[in-house]
Amino acid sequence: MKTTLVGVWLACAVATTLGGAFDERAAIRSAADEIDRLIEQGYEENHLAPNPMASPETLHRRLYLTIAGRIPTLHETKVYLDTSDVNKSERLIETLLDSEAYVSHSFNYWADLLRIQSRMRNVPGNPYIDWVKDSIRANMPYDQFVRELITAEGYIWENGAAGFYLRDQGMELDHMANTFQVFLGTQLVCAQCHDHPYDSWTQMDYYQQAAFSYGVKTTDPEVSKQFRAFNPRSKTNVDPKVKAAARRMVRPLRYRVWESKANLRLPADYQYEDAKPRSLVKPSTIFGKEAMAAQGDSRADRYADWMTADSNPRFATVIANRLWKRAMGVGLVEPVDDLSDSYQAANPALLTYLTGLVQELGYDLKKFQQILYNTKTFQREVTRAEWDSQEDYHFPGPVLRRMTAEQIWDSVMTLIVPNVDARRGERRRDNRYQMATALVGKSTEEVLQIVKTQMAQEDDLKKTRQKVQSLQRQLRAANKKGQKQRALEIRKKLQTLVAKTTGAKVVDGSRERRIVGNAWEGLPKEFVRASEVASPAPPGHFLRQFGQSDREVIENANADASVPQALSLMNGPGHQLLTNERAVLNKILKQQDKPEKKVETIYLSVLNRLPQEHELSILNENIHAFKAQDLLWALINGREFLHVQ
Amino acid sequence: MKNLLTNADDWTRRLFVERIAKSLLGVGMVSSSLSRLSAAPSNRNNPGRGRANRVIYLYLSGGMSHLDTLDTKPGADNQGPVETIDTAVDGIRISEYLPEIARHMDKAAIIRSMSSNQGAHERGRYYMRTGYNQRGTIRHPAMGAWMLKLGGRLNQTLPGNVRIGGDSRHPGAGFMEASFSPLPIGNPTAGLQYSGRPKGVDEELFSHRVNLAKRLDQSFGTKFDQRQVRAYANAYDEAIRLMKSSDLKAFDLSGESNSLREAYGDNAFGQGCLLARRLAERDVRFIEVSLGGWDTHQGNFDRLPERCRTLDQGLSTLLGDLSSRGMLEETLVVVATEFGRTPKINQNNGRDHYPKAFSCLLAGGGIQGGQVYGKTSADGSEVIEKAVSIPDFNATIAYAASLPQDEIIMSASGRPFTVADKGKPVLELF
Repeated sequence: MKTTLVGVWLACAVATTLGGAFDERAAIRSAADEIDRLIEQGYEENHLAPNPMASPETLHRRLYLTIAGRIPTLHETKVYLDTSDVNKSERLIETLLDSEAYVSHSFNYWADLLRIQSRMRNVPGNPYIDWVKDSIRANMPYDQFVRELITAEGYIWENGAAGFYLRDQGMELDHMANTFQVFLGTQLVCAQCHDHPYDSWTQMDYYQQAAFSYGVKTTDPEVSKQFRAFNPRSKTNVDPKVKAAARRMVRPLRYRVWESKANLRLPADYQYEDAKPRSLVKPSTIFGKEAMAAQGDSRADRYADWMTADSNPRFATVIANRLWKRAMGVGLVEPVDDLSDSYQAANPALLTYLTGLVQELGYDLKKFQQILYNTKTFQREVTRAEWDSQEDYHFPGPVLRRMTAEQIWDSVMTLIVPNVDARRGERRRDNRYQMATALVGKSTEEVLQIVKTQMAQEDDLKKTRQKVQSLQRQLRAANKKGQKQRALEIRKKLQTLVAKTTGAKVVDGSRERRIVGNAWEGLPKEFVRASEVASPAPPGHFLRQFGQSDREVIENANADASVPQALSLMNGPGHQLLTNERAVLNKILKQQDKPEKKVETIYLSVLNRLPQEHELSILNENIHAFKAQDLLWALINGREFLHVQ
Repeated sequence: MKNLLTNADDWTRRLFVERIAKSLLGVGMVSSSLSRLSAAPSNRNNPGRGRANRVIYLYLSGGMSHLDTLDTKPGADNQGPVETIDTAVDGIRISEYLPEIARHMDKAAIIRSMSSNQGAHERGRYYMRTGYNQRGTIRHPAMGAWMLKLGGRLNQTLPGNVRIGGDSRHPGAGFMEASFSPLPIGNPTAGLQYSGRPKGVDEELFSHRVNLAKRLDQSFGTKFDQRQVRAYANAYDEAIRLMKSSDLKAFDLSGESNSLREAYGDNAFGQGCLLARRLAERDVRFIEVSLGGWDTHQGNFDRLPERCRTLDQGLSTLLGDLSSRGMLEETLVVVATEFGRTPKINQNNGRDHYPKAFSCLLAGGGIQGGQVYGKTSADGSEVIEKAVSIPDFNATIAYAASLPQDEIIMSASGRPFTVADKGKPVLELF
């Protein structure tokens, strides 16, 4: 099987160099056909009839939600449904995989797996977030992606991948268990404290494996040495306040990822006879071809080599199975992150084929997904009956899924915000690292000088802020009392003050303008895609209500129904959608006068299909009293909207 | 101990059921079904194991200085300017910063021998709220989720677990079902978010829309008769019932007299305590109210009087209010914090983190008021009598709320957990 694969991809490579996109498509189609063939064998063996092919409307919505993470806009839907090109789904898959929306949607997936947070214990998460987004955008091969994470070094501001270790600062053993669960679908965590009760891993196995990355440190001992003079207990004759300010400024330099020579020891309560408590642990890999770390070698490098090698029995299989699940809703092996010693796939031949495919494609995940989305298996109707997770699923089609929290939020945003994929979230400027590096290599006197200047500036800023706040209070009071002239005077003062500090131009006119940028047709700055909101969104946020992961543990999102969700869609953001005149959909509806036309627009926008006969007859009962807002409300609060068919 | 003995029959029966279940069904099934059946009705009819049907959990975020509040050391070098005053109970003396709590001392028990091993805020809070040390591989449920999981909901309309104010890293339901997560309320005076019809939508329009939605949605429900799809129909029914329910009035603090509202304190914490009482009154199981600002590394003695005033007002009014309504017997009030603060006063006139020895407070729910449990050394730096660990403290809450401490709950990843992680309840407090 593997030889035919190689043949196909060689042919493809040749064709591509000759400039033939057509042949690349042919290669993709042939791989998709092979998958379908293996799946169809499964139907025969299990006496199963596949689901019918999905309608163009259903497939179109599903492709958008699966690849772009949101429903299509009215325009996108109309264009697609009106096109007669027989290859239109194939073309759409290509377009979507190359879109910024794909980056946004894939980021959410990786943020759940890697538990990425905007605020980490000691460093900001944004550089890590940007690194992951950039890697997705550049379609970095997956083996390289994992290698760069495992071998990451340096400050997070210079190498975002360093966030991988900084995320689990002080929890080296847990970090290893998480890494295994994400990339190798293997849960070792039980063996951290005792031999694994169900699998064959021993506590010794765990420690030997952990010894590979144990040397990676996340703090820099050199920094405290260099800036010893500012230690609270140092005898230098410096004002404690200045000392504290200096330490604050230096702080970012303390968190650097580097590989030390530190060796792991067994815990004090080690209870087995093969070694004594607290004895040194020699690194050894838990399965596959043993990784050897010679004297002076970087153990993290050898760990990454072992992890990402084709000979690792789980690396390619796990990502293939994960992406299969992402497409179909169920993995070929479940749970995808807890493969037992003797796991059995629902369709072993297919899992073997997919594993080979990932490797053959050079870990090009975009191409791999392109193949999956082009299969008939993916393009069938979803299964009507509920899948019982105790049994193997043989993929008569994908399963029905509630949208993820991010998909729901992004879909609501699609109805409100024009060109939503291009909109960026607002971020606070973070120049702490630049300021800290300015201190490196300076003498104590020089550092003192810089710190004092900085303190004076901060002091100025604080005073200005207080002045602004006081003026704002006065303004509110004046407005409340209806003193127009006075309000105008205060407003002018306020504008001049802000302009002086920020260097912005004074905006003429009596209306107060916000100095913050990010204007987007007058819509709130919080209306951005989920991937642009803080990770995770704050508790109580729409995203969290709908089960967004707290990004504390791996894949912690849920799709459970709840009362606050219903309240939110009926009376909260769901309702705001109806009343916001600036929302894209409402602007379109305003230009239409015939109820029939409005009905069509709303169906095409929210459910991405035309209304059916029985729906029209319900609406026609009272068409003279038809209100667009009522139908919009009804569809947003219906279950079809929340599900991916 | 005598209480356990009087229940021996219950126990034997339960163990027996469990053993059979284990042999027939495996441990996982026991936790989710059978042992619940035998444990569920225990709450009201099992006074021996504590009487709390509801818990009001006041969390002092940042680490409250024990020396300046519940465990003063008059005459000690490190006491600073804080005076010690008498309370309503002979022999119990506390800080001058808490004069009203002193007046209600007969209702509360102070634990002066708390001891934790976590000196960083986040880990300390996590430990306090869950009874487990924070790990990178699992999320443990906070006590509110345990209470719902093991004790069930008492009011079927209102959410069973509510959290008023507080930090964003609350452990919530941990690995348990999302439905056990605390409902977060940012502003206690703003009501339950989105529970009212929006402006311009009258009753008639609302039911017209609901009706339209139901009719249009029906075919989808028929086509996909699946659990998750049905769950949404239920959630909508429940939400609509809640919107119309008189229980929703619990969130409307304007139903209280101005004088009582003022007594609780004109701040988020005070009003949060009042909301907590109103929710407890309607049998909401677990309500957490947070008060931050206790991290007094600098200017400890400038900042504490104000913080303590807020706590003093809110807590004392709550105790008085619960007691006059006859609710204190069945409501456990907990005052918790992640750690204490160093007895030594630092160069910024502040105190730093100190997990080794600190104080917490319990009242109601079967706790005998007017007592002090445990003791620290003369300078407040060591526990010298009856140390209480964090799991012990949580086990005491579990005991007061009649939660079975031996019931094993499996995480989705197949790891076994119990409420309060094998801590020992402090029975002498009851």
